[in-house]
Amino acid sequence: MNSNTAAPAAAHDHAHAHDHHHHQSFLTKYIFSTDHKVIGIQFLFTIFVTLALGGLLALGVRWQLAYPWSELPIIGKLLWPDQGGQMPAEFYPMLTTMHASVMIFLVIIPALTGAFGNFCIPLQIGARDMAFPTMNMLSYWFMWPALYFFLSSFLVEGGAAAAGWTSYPPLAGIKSAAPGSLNGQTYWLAGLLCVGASSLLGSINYITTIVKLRTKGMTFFRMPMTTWALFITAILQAFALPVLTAALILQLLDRTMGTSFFVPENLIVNNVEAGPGGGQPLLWQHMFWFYSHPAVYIMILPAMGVVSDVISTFARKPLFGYKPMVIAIASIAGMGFMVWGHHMFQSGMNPALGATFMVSTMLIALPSAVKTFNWLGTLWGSRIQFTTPMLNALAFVSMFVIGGLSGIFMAATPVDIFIHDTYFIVAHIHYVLFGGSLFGFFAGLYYWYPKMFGRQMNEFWGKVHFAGSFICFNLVFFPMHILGMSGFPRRYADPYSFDTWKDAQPLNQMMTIAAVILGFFQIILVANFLISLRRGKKVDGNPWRSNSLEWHTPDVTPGHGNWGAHPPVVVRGPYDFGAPEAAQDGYLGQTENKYPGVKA
Amino acid sequence: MKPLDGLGLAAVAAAATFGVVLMSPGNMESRTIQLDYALPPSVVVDYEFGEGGFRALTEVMEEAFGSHAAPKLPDEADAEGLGIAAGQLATGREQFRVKCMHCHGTNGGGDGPTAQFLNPRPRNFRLGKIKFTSTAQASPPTRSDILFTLKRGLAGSSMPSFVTETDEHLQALVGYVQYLMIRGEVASLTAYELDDNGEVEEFNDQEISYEELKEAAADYLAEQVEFVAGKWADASDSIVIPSVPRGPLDLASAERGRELFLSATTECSACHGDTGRGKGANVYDAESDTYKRQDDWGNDAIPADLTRGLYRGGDRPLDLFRRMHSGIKGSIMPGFAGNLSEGQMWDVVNYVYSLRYDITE
Amino acid sequence: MNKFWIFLFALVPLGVLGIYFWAHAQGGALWFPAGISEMGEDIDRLFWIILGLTGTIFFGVEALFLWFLFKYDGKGRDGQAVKYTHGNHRLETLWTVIPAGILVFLAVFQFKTWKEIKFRSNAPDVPLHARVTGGQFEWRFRYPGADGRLDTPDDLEAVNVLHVWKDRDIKLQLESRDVVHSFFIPAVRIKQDLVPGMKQLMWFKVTHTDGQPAPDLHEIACAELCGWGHYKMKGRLVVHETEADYRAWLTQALAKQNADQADLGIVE
Repeated sequence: MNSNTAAPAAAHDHAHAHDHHHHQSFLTKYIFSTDHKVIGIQFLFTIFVTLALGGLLALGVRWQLAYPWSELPIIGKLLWPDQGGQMPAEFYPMLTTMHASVMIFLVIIPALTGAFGNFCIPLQIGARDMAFPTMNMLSYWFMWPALYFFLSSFLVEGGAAAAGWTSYPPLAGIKSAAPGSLNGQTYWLAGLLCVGASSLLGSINYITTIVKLRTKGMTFFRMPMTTWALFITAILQAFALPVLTAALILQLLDRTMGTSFFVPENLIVNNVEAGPGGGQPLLWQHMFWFYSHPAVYIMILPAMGVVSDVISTFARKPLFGYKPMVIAIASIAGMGFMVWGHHMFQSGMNPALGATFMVSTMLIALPSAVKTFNWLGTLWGSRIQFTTPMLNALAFVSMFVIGGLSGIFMAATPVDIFIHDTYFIVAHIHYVLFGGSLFGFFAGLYYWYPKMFGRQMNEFWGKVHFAGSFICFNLVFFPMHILGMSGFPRRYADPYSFDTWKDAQPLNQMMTIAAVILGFFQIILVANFLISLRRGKKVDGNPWRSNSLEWHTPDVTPGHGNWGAHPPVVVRGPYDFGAPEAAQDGYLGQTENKYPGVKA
Repeated sequence: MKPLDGLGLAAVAAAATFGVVLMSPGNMESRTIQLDYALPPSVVVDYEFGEGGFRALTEVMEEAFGSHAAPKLPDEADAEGLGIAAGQLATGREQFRVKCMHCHGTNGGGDGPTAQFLNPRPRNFRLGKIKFTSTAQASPPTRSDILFTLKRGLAGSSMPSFVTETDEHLQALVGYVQYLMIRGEVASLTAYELDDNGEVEEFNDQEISYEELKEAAADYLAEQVEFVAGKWADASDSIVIPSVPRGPLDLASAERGRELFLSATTECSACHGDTGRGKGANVYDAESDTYKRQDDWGNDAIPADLTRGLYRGGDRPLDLFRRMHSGIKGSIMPGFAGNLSEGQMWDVVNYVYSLRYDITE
Repeated sequence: MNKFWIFLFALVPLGVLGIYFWAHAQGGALWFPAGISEMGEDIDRLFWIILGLTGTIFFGVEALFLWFLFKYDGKGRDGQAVKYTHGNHRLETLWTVIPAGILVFLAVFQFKTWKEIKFRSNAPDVPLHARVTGGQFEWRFRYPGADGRLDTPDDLEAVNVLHVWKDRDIKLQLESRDVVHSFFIPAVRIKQDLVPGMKQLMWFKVTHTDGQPAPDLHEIACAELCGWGHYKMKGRLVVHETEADYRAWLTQALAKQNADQADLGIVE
């Protein structure tokens, strides 16, 4: 299916030569735009705000772990003046809960599926826009009520949700169980429903666009890995989200309408009777993890796709094993629906299920391993250019290896008995989500910036940002594996009150200092991004000499409709670097169209 | 690398180094939490002293009891007699700050940030009393009482058990809680004296100077310290120990206890309900789902649901006996030392146990 | 300049190696807590096996990665040919089948340990030692009295301190009074979530003690976020050397609890 004229009515077809003006005010061109590129960039700008928020929340966590019960810098005296700026005990789980929730739902998912998904997919497949541009716009705007709910949850009585991003009932469901469960948890649920709506609308759009709007010659197996990954991720979202939505609604009903889906009988929490009962807390866990496990693959697969594009481009060599790579992504997605129980090994679920989930979880390591080997295969015999996007992509590969291997420990059910709910898990999470997804995001950001804005981000400062982030990231998160080995528990405001973990404080202090420096280096990224908008080096349409279709638009930054009068025709795959008929530097575009500024 | 970039890099390195030094443990160690003692809210609300009067009271309180950085007991209090060793108050304060302050508040007023979310509220120590003790009704607790609460927690409330803490820390905490209770009570009593004897009015009418006002306050304070500390020193003289054995937990005893429970002598059922589940007609209005009476701290007086098996003051038979004997201080639960014999009190205790255990076998 | 990046990436495996040796030398809070049970030994052994396997893979992959970055550095090689290939079917098969085999083997290899620790059919045939009730924010332990049954007046109830004795299968009933908690004894390597509405079983046997003056003390922690006091749920496991020691403590504790003419203190 690769017709570009069989688009739904909402897409504009400039194949007709007559003047077809759309009068666009500033509002419709930049704010309420239905252009996928603008929407992608809108997501990007929003990410910077939410990344800062999530990062600051993390620094609050790290501060307490380094200097427990000391004055919290800057905001301590404002919030708790009569406690001398010392954070009260209930604030700490609020910090960990909202840090994770913001990072997962308001940063990583929107950054990869929202920003890159929107910007790259139509360009990479030769479409003029998404199949449903108005729905696309809605998908972006749903993020704002979500952000509103998350932010305002801090201001309501009881403060923000504090039951973990996992929100296990009865702690989350019963209002008397925690201050955050009084009101903040309801806001959290509402925020998540908005994020879910955004994701679902987006995923329907992406699937339809990729299936129906590929340009002539763009067969499925000529699509770049970024689009493949986003396609499969969209399918993941479409199947997993409804279960989360159902779970969220059930918990909302428990909290507001007196139902007891997750509340057992005769429960009294904090001397308040909890409701009629008859429910089962484990039901939430099953429903939640049925979505949230695929969610972690939603967060990694697009980054893997980006990394494949970037590595191939800057190694000037075809991606090793293109079809196996696609199959690997599809396997991760498919198997991703069969492993959710590994979050529940110690939960009280029938241990026989533990055995079966152990097998499926061990096996899901396999396609990721295959991908790693294929990236190595791409590097073998290549000609590596150490540009900023490439450095970030290489970091992805090496950090993801650590994250993936640490997963084997927790897949081993008996070992999980010891390391469950310890910092070993936190280490794993951050190696795959930060070391993996976030560095993958950085790679994509530096890579596609020229296509978004016609200028390049400053390479020197990009490399400074990379080096600083890479070093600090490892200093913060690798020691967490060690802490996990000692059983250092998660979500503890003061682990040092235990003799077992008393002596871990100095290491935690080093990690906190590294975390603050890590945060500081992200300022360099944002500054680079913003300053380069005006003062970045102007580039031609394909500064990286990449082969994929998005670099072959008739304008340096594609205009409305992307391709001008004539949509491109694709004649080969996206990674044919170094083919016999390629240019001196290995370039051999997917289309014969020349891009602006190119010499032969 | 362009020169400007090189300069920028140097700036980044300098900033990072500065940050590392700023946040290092060496630098952080010298930063202590700054806290202030304030007068009890009840004093500030109940007495119209004006700025001068409150300042004088605050100053004499600080001179006598020290500050957060250096808590002390005035000489009249005879710290050693109270069981507080030298230097222990500082340790106690530090432990209190880390473990207790977020619930019990900076001054022990039960008004920390977490307090509003707890049910029941954390204890306000500033009235100088706590609910569950081993002593007679009019007496303060002993150090042992405070220690027992720390070690076993208060079952059915948010006060956890600190039994795994070191003895050193526990003893220090006991001393600091004594300190907070004495300080709070003395502040209220001194304020009362100042008001009752008119020195504040005289100062406000400019009939006496500030120094004279302060001197009067200091004199009253010394008196009240002696009075309060004296009560504490005598507390161990009034520890309640039954002289009659409990006897077996059998149907006969429980039935006698039940009779007493429902009788007019005790009126237990009027508060605890006919079946001991609480919400008795005397204290609870079913239609509006509200409690009609409050304890001395202004919280709703909620008689326990005796069928739950969670006894806040301790679940030993001795503990329940003490509740019968001396009541629960500061609450509407009366003591029956005057009305019931010890044997009768044991019968009621056995009846209470029978509400959660099946003793018919 | 490119060599700098290779050096930076190389710092990771070097750092990993370094931190493991450093942590091992430090011990204490930076290494496994001393293990006191047989199941703990099994779990630790599995951990080491997996560490050996993943460590080998990690260093192998990193070495290859760094070698490729070094050998195929494109600096000064503009225009030189690359090994133009789209893949290798045989290689794909090999590096799919072999890891798959290892992973499945690893999973199946652990079934036995998992079953022994968690399957109810493997629970030891001994009377229940105590009931553990987790609540916000402490552990309550209830030991059956002389009648051998729980929830009768002769039970012993204690807070936060659990007494057991060595070389004995200890079977505990686990309940929660309010929210989900998790009973975790690091030294024993045992952990189980306590779910309100569910009665669960846990069993373990302490086989080593430190040889210090008895009894041996270890910490108990909560391992599932349960509210603002999650970190406050510090319990203590007391391991008596012999059953006689334990019974002596039990007698004394019951006496303390039931004393009606003297105040003997609380049970600890």
